Amino acid sequence: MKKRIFSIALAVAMTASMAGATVYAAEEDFALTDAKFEDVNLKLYLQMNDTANNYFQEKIDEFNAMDNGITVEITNIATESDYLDRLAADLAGNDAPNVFLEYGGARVIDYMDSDALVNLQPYLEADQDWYGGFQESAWEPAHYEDYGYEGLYAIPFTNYQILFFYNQEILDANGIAVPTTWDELMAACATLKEKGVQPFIVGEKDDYRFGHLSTVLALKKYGADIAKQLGSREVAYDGEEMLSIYAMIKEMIDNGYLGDNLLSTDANQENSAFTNGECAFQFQGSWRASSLASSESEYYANKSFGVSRFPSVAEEYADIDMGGGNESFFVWKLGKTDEEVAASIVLLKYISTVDFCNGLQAVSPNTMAVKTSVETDNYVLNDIMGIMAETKGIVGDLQNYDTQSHMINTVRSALQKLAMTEDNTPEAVGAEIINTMSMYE
Amino acid sequence: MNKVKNTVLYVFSFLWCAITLLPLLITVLASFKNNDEIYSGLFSIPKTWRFSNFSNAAQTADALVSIGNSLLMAFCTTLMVTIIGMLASYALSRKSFLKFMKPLNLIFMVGVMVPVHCTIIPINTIATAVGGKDNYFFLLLVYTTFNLAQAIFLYTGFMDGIDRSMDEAAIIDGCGDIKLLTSVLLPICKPIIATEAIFVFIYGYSELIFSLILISNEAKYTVSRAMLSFTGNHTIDLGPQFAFVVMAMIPTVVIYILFHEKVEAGALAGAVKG
Amino acid sequence: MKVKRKDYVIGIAFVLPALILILCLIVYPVINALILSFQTWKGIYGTPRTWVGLKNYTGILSSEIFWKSMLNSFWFIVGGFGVLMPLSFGLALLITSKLKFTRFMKTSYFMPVILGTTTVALMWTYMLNPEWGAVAQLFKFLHLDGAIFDWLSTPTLNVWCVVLVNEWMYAGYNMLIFAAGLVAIPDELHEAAIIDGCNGWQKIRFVTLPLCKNSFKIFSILCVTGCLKVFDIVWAMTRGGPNNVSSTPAIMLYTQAFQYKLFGRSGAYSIILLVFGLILSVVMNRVFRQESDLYS
Repeated sequence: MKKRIFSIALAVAMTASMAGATVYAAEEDFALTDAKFEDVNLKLYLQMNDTANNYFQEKIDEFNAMDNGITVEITNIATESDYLDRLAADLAGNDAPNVFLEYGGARVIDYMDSDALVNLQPYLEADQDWYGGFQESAWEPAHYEDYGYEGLYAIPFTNYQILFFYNQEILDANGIAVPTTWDELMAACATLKEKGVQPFIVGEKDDYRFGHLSTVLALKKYGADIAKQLGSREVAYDGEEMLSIYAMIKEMIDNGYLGDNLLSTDANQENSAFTNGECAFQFQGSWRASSLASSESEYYANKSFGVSRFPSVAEEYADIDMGGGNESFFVWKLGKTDEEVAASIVLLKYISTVDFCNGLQAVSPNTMAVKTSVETDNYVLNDIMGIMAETKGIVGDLQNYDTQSHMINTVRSALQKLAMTEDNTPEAVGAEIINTMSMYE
Repeated sequence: MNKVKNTVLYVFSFLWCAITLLPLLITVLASFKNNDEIYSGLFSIPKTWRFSNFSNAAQTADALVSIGNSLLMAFCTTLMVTIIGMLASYALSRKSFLKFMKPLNLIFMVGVMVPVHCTIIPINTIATAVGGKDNYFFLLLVYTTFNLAQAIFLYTGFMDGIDRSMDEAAIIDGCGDIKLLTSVLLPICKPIIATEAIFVFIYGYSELIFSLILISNEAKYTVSRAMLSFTGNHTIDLGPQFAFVVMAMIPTVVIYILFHEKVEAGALAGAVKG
Repeated sequence: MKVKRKDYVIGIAFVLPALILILCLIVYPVINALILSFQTWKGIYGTPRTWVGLKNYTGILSSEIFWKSMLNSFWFIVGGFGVLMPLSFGLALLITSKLKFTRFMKTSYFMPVILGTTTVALMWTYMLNPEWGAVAQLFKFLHLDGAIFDWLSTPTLNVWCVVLVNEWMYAGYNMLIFAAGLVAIPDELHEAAIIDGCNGWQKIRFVTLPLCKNSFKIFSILCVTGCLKVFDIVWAMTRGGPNNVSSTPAIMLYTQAFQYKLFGRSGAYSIILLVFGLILSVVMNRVFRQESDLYS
């Protein structure tokens, strides 16, 4: 029996001790082995596709049927902007979820500043089996040392890396090898363009496309440190370093390598163009493996889709990539009881077991933060996991390391200028970012 | 001369029919395609007719349940708005000599103008405080309120245009306020009630943002909320989504045709009588 | 006229249900936004809000993007009176006329509203695609190749594209408002006009238009307030982009709160919008009142 610090009513305590169970009762009980609760209701917010959501519902039903006194209610919203609307409304409206998915970084810094998120480190350290079960690279969204907060504030769920996808059949037909450096990539694009084949089709109507591209290029050119240098303003968004990154993108646009009407093409159309063989290359996250497989594309059936690391710019940073923990689970503590927080940890442990993630990966292939052991027949996913295992340094969106939480929106929106018809110079992008930053100071 | 004029009118009206029916055609065609086919041509005939889109859609969005829920919300909202709105408009129009009616007009005007996004968080806070989450009745009150202001504005405007001599005759005949409203004004107001009812019905049927914020339980999803299920990891399955649009619009179209036909007949009869 | 007690009772009782709902669910949020507009708040319940005086207002009124978004709303108003009003009134005349097939027309004109904003926006963004969209094909057919470019990402032009799609979509909706006014005009008046020797145009000019003045007033106020807070169709077609050039004030107030977590600034946007709306609707009320004085 553990000692009880909480003043649980005598009757409750007696029932529990008669049953001989361990009742969750201690503040310093971080291991929470076989912890039991008195009717704790938790809300879990997910942003999942339909298949993954169904898997969660089924598994959470099993969890609710267990004899631990916890009942979990799932709210799943598949579309990101709607999910974020709901989350924002509930955090502001006194109805915060206990556990929710977010991408971490500067996006949650406001919550950190309000001391609203639970530091999970003590719980992880009390349960080394759990702690050790994750990929090392996935912990990025849990760290906030740069903002002055020690500890681990998230449990990573999926892991990702931005990769370079290509269509082998198109490359073969044009006598091109898979480019491994920026110069090779530019040469390949030039050759393809000459032969009337479109190298990339980028859906910049969804402004995360150039957001990702600029991050990848900056990492490949300046290494992982660029993120912190930008965050501390040591490197300016309108400084020479960043201007040269915008100029690289601009060069690709001007040469027509990225498609003709970038701003009226969305990411969904971009995906469709690549699976249809309308373009030779695509840069996308590792999540692309599942939509390639479900695209009914002949190229997938013929195993023509290939994947490699994004071409290097500076050789010493060839193994530095954009990626890391993608979606992660956060535990909210403002206005929640200690019991609810502890129960949230129990729930998190349940949904980050290898079994749970194996099952999820089997129905909805993705790269997981937990070291899973599932065998998949998705050859693209297998290749991706191979590449990710060899990555030396992994960094997320550069703006996630910023002190200002609006930066990711600001930079992405400004990068759209590159594809517009007027005022589209790298300098204009830099000036726009600095201008918007001054508006929010 | 008349013949020429009529021909011109017919040509114009059918041209406009054609371009308003385009989306319907595209939606129906798209509901049998997959993403690649949709992107490669809106008007093309699908190479294979994917009837499976419909069964997929019915399953993913739980079509029968969500359409049923939406119909329920739409009916109740329409009823509430019509009753509460007519009562208020009667007071605003026929009791306008009361001193407090003027500022009330201003309050209702604010209701017409308020941008919905500035109300979401306060309404969510109220819902949490009174147990309005996952509660259809609370959602119904929200839907009603957001249509009331415009409905009152329309009804009052319409009632103000009705000749008072009719009221006076009725009052001399010994009609009270309730009788005056229900048996004299209501029949004359039928066209505007019908018009507003259609707007409200469509709003209640397809509203998204409040059902997104206030409803969690999948069994209570409405049509627009269920439609979000077609989005996957950075992709959207457009075929089944369009199939669901087709299924969801059928009840609205049927109700629109039946209802408008009925009311119009009634309205014309009313006008003749008046 | 002596006000009777019964009038008070009936007046209050009839107006009360609507009033309670509007006070709780609209006026309270507006007051909340008013208070917020003088504060900063990150949108986390239970965290303190700091008073900042007029900073949110000065920040908005001195920012270029606010005036750009107001201009975009203004284009919507111009489109509303220049295109939507004549179009929907014309359609209302058609469906209430003695032509055949009016039932079919009425249904098809209303179809875009039934299909909903998402579907309509999706269709038109594809139709306007400069590579394979139907509009580009039509231009090519007419040998207007020079006029084909990326309309939806060209500043100002993209707003006008959305404006026109908006008018196309809501023509059927406003048609019903005008039609409701038209069917209320007694047939005898039309007959009298014909007997007086009016031709079609004269009949519309001297009988129909004056009798529909109320409908025009309703339309005008709904149009102006609707245009000021326009959100759905713009969001669905351009998301206010690229780089915010097609933003409207309502999009700004949404993104400030829900993306940038600047709830104070968002509140100030709401209040500015409401004030503009109230001023415009008062002005319009005046305009229509003066006209009615002229007629009578």
